[in-house]
Amino acid sequence: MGGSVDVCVIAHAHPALSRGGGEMAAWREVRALRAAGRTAVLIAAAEQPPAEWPALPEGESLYDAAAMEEDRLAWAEDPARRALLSRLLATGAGVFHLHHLWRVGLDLVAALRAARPEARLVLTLHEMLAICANHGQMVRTADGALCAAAAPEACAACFPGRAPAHFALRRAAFLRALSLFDAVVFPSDFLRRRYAEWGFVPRAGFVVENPLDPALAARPRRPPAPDLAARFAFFGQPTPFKGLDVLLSALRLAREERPGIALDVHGCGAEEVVGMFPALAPLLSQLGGAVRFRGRYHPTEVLDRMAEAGWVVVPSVWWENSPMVILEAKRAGVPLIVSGIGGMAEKVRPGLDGLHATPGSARDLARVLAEAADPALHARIARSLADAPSPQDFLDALGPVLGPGRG
Amino acid sequence: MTLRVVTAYRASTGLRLVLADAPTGASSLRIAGLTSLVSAARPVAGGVRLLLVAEGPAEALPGLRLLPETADGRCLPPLAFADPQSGPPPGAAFVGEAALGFALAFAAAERPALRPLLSPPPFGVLGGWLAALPALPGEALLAPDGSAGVWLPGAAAADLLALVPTAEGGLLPSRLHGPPPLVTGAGLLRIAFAPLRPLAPPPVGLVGAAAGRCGRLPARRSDAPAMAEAIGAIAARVASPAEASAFRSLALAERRERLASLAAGLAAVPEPGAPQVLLPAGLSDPFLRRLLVLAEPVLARRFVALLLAGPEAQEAGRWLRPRLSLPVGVARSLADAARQGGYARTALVPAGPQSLAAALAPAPERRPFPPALAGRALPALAALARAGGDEAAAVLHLAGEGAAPWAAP
Repeated sequence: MGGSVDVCVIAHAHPALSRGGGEMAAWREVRALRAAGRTAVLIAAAEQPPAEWPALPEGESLYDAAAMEEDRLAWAEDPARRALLSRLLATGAGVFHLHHLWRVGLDLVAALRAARPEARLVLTLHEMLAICANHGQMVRTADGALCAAAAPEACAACFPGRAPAHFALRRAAFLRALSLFDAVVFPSDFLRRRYAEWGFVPRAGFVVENPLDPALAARPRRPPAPDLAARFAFFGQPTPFKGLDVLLSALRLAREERPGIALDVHGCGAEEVVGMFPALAPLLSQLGGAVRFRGRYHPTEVLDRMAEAGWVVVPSVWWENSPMVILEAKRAGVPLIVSGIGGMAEKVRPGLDGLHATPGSARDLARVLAEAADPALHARIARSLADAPSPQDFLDALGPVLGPGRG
Repeated sequence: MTLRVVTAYRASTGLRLVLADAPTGASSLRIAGLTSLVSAARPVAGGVRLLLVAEGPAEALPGLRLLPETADGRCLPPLAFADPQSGPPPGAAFVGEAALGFALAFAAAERPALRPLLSPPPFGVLGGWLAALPALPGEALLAPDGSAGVWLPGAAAADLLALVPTAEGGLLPSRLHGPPPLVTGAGLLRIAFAPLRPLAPPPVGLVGAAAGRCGRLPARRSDAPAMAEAIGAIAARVASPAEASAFRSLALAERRERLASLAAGLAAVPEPGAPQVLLPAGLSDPFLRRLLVLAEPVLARRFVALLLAGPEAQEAGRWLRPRLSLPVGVARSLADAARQGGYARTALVPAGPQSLAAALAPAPERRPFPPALAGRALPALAALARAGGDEAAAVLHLAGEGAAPWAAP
């Protein structure tokens, strides 16, 4: 990685190792910048041992996060921290764009700022980790209830082993770290508002939607087939926050009213779902062929898979920031049913891009599924559904964030 | 040289003589010499007890000293017949009645001139005596603040000495003081305190003389509140509720009074312009360390250094030093930091998680750092922290975060 580059993007993961929204956004940003003629490199964290690292293209490389502290918010081993700092400085980049502070380290940010006071430091926040110690989800640990605001006493109630003062310190540390950035990107206005309510207003804040894969963006947009109104699809992993368990329960209830309703689950198999939610095994048996588990898919397949559905359902029981699946569904031209909170509510205009349901409520989601199965409603929303921002939209939005290039 | 100590009484003068003798051979101490020495002592009303300590070659008696006490226990200036600072000859050991050894240790506790007798470590000429002491029946608890709780069944009176470790690996006897004991038909209950010396380590053992017996009191370590609770439970068992309550109140009042002068010292104002040193507490929280790193540009405008003290200081220092330009001092305890010196002329700014978070918060919610402590008060703080059994809590209290740990029982 010799010579100076324009933008050094630092991410908590690389798509060659995992395919979460944050790392995909970082990787696509580098590709988009290069396509626009700027020099950009990607340096991403890896939890896997270096011997298992895949070969990466020129300008993309990994660093070992194993030398970090357990919460991956600071470096336990100073030589490793120094080595990464040296690598970043050796790029000679004028802009350092971090995606996440997790697996990057608050202490690394402080060192980078001190070493390059004139450089432009940019951060994209992908969740609320600075605000909430529960994986940045703002969901209570005890019962999974949504949390609207962090406060030391309330946070200590979520983590009985930690004192309120810990959370005051945590907030102060994160606020200090965030204040070191010249610009901060929020993929949703919901996230920007959450940080503002918490006490963080950046020197320059931008709401910029995550970039879509250019290959997907280039695909022609097809109108949805009219006979798919009762065909729903879920894309993602069966984690406790994604709400697949709620959706499956809702499906059973909705079928009592509309027996023709069916669901395709993409991204996992039935055994993974039962592994995460053992209590759902009888329900899956009961649903029988009404649920099809379509398994994992390559990102380039996503639009084709979505085109088989009338609706894409995002039933997350946490706030979400800017789920990639919403962008992809918009690109695919498939209306959405989402939990009516957070980034989901913002990205899906009710009645125009899709419908909202109460998060965590199988009964309300069942009501919405049944309502959505109406072909007329489906056709109407499909016509008004917004498209995802184009790569050029993304670059235009990113321009003032990164500042002028070195050209 | 082995000294043999025997006792004799001269009824005609009321003197109690304690005579030293060597057991056999040409190097024996001569009674004649002793007689003449004793005759040099001035009788006082009520009689005088003389402890005789002989040092050096028997013929010359170069280190001979007389330690007079009146019969009612008042100490008189020692009568030195040779250089009182010279210690006993190598190998010298006390051999005599256990009660006399206790009296000698008791005298050494009160009179610095006798300290050479307690060299070499661990206990000088009394080392053998101490090792041979039997255990007294009873219970004893020792708290880090130098307080001792003692229950001696069957005793009606007791003298107690605490054994305080020295920097040289020895032991110093330290006389315990305190409120009157609670004496019942079942025995004697006492809470007593070693003199409060800011940087002295806590006692490690107890010896006592009670009911005609002299011996060690096997002592368990305890913190001060637990000790008060345990002694309170014994009091409730052996005395009436009113007596038990009065005894406990007296003990607590004594403790408060004892600590009050030290606590007053914490209010000392630092010298104007004294360099400021940040003294953070709560080092086990990784976010405290992270905040210090993230806020260094702000901290460096005010502080010349950080002082980390306590069990986590070493690890925190290891983490912080490569990340900070500010010097980071590390000490295992506040007492260690005080012993290291270098802070006496500084202004120490205590800060716990809450005060640090508030002082380094964004402008609208920012609060000033807590008031500074004069660096010369660090030994007093260390002693108070030890009395409270929690150094971090002591610093947190100064930072306005929580009660004074030394104020608790």
